Amino acid sequence: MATVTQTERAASLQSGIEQRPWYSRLNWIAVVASFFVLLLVIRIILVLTTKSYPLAYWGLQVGNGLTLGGVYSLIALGYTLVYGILFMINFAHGDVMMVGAYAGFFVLAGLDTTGFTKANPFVTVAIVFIVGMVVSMVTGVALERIAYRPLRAAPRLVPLITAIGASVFLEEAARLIFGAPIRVYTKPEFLSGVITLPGGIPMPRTGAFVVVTSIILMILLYWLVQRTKTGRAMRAVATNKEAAALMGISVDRIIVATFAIGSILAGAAGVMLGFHNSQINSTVGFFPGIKAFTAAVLGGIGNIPGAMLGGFILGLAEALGPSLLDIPSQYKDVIAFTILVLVLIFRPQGILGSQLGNEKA
Amino acid sequence: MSFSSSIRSGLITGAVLLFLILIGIYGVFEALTLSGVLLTIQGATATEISQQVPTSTNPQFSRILTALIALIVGAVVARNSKSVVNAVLNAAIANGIAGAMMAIFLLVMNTLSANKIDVSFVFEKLKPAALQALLFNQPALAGALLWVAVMVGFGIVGALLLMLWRMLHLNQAISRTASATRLESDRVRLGALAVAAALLLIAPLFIGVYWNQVLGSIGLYVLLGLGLNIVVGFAGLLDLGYVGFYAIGAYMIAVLTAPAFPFQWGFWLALPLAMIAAAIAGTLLGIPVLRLRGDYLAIVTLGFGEIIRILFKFNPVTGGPQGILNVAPPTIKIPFTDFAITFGSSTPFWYLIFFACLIVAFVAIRLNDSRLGRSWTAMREDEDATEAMGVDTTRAKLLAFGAGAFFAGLGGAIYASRQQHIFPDDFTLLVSINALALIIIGGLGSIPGVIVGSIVLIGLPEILRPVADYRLLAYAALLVVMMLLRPAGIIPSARRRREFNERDQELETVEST
Repeated sequence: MATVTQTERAASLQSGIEQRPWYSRLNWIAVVASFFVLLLVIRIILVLTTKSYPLAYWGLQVGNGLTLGGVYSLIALGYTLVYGILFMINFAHGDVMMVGAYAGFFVLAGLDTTGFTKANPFVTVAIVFIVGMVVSMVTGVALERIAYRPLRAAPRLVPLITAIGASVFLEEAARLIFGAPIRVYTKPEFLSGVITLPGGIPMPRTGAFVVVTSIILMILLYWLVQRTKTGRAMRAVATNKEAAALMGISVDRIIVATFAIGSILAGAAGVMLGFHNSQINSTVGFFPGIKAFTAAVLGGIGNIPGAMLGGFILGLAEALGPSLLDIPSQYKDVIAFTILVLVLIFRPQGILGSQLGNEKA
Repeated sequence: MSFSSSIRSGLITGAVLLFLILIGIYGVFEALTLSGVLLTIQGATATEISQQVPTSTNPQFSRILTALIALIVGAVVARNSKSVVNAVLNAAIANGIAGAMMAIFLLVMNTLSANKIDVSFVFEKLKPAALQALLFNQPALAGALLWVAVMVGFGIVGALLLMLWRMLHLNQAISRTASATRLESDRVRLGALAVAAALLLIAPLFIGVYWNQVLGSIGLYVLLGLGLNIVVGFAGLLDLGYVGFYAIGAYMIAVLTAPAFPFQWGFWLALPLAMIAAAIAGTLLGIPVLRLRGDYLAIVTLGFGEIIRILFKFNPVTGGPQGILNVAPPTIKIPFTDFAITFGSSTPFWYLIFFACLIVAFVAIRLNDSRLGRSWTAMREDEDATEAMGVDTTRAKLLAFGAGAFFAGLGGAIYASRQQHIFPDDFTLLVSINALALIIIGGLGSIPGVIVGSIVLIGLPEILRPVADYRLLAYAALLVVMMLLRPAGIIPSARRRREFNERDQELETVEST
């Protein structure tokens, strides 16, 4: 009897697949989206042929894009690391960055008033970075311990909602504790002003600083993940938690380490953003957070080089997009979102492909 | 007998107290007076209250808050103690640690500000006057010691009260009388519902403008919550861009009825179009994320909500940041007569919202029990299995999105015509978070939960208006705490309750084997 029902079921399944309505195959979405992309390309060509900006302008925009990209990449790495291990979006990651930015600001303001900055500008910047990174790390680890760890076995919607709650909580707590007004980072002298790159391209010093620092941090991270024992353990846990535990890896400790590393990078990004934009307030983490997530998806979530690449691509798209499409720069937030939707349609596994495969994406 | 758990509780309490001080709850409570709260309930505005209630404060509420926290912590810490001495010791240790943390913190802050270091540069709420009030207006050391003493004292009282209560109740075993038979409880529930409905219909005529406004806001959020409940609660798709559909509904009504645009239709003609536009937007948004699971959806929808707002905000057609003014109110006209009512005050709008809620609740209940509703539930629990059973999950997802957005469009349309003007910044992420918080706190998938949730989350802050600044923080904290402690919500839906019970039983069997 069992065999009969099985064949029957197989037959009905077969016919079920054939009878699926036309829209469930979804190819037409890709068609529509391709048409949309074509329109965008045509628009870009039209703009480029009708409007001519000097080379220096494009150089400046590329510089801006790389600066933004550096920040996005650093935040995106945090998303990717956590997603690679826990398969959850740490929604509050952008706000962890914001906390780091605030911590850096207060240290900087304190050092400014004592006159320490004037005497040792480089040491000051180093201290600001370290404090921002450490405070972010503490925030991230505390978040994991309080909000995420008890929910590790819960259905997926539960930790996600918790993460959203944590994000709003951090944002509101910062607004209430530190006050709503904008805080202004004072740049030390060696970071203010503009340098001129070959070809007469101007670039703000903070921009160059952000690009260089973020690349150094990314190289450090790559070394950490690829060459150290912790990194190997992290990769093992990402591949298979149970097997890693059987091999004697403390999964809990690795998860904490992952959150710590991701939050350190976010803290660095927060301080960079503070120096570059000069202004921070409690909502400063929201949009970079979403965009960095987009960058992580763009590069392939769970994939470390992918997050770096995705961050830079997104930063460039956002800096160049308004000029290329000749739209007001207020719409730049729309660009990131459009890219996210297009990536999800055409290549949901991301440019470099996620290392996770379908069941985790 | 170790005291490690008491020490832990003490540290946690201390951290929470510190946080409360840093966010300035104490200051707010200090400004709060009983007469002020009573005036708020009567519907007075903030300026009226400040005129009538002297601002010179007797910080009664903040003292009561401290005492209450100490009492509760004392009782909680002592709950597992066998003897009175043990209970008192536990309470004293926990509260002593918490009090000592506060004392040290306040002493440090006081010393800093005494040495001309402006603490309020970092912690905005710690102005010198506030610090003084926190130290009970005593010299620093005395104030700090007073903190420890108050915490320990009230903690011990709390522990003793618990012990006393226990002694009184120890002899009479708590007998669980079987609740009324199912039929009777159903009848009672139906009766209660009828009474509540009658009250809600009659009360608006007597309660004045202010409370009508509040009732309307609660009703609008019930409407939003019911729609979002379909997407999140029934189908398990986390939609954070819900405000986008609300905005589309509102803007659609505004564009079709406001005098700034060439259409100038009536409300009733524009309403279906607004709802359909929102539903189409919802379905379209669903398409790119259909093949992906859960988490992406949250981010994409979140982005979508913000994008809609940005598009409305920087678009000259929709009035840019100035929004659209003079949205037409609904009118009811009886044909072949001159009789017509234009909805002017908030009372008729309340009736409109009330009936909209009834209809949407009815539709939601029927949907949940329908074939589609069952496939939503199945999809929420296990998508692969559902698909293998022959359910077209693509269609189910799109329908969930469309239905949710449809009702959001209704809410937005009513909102726009009630306000008579809309601004893009009415439609921030905050609205989505509010709606999400209220359905989660009420109980995902449960319709009474949505109502209770919006009364608690939208109505209660109106009574405690001085605390309104802390509303969002409290929601966020509630979201996290609910997920940690009671993921099914205040009033869990019957299905969820069953599921959670089963899960607990499974866990128990696993543990016992």
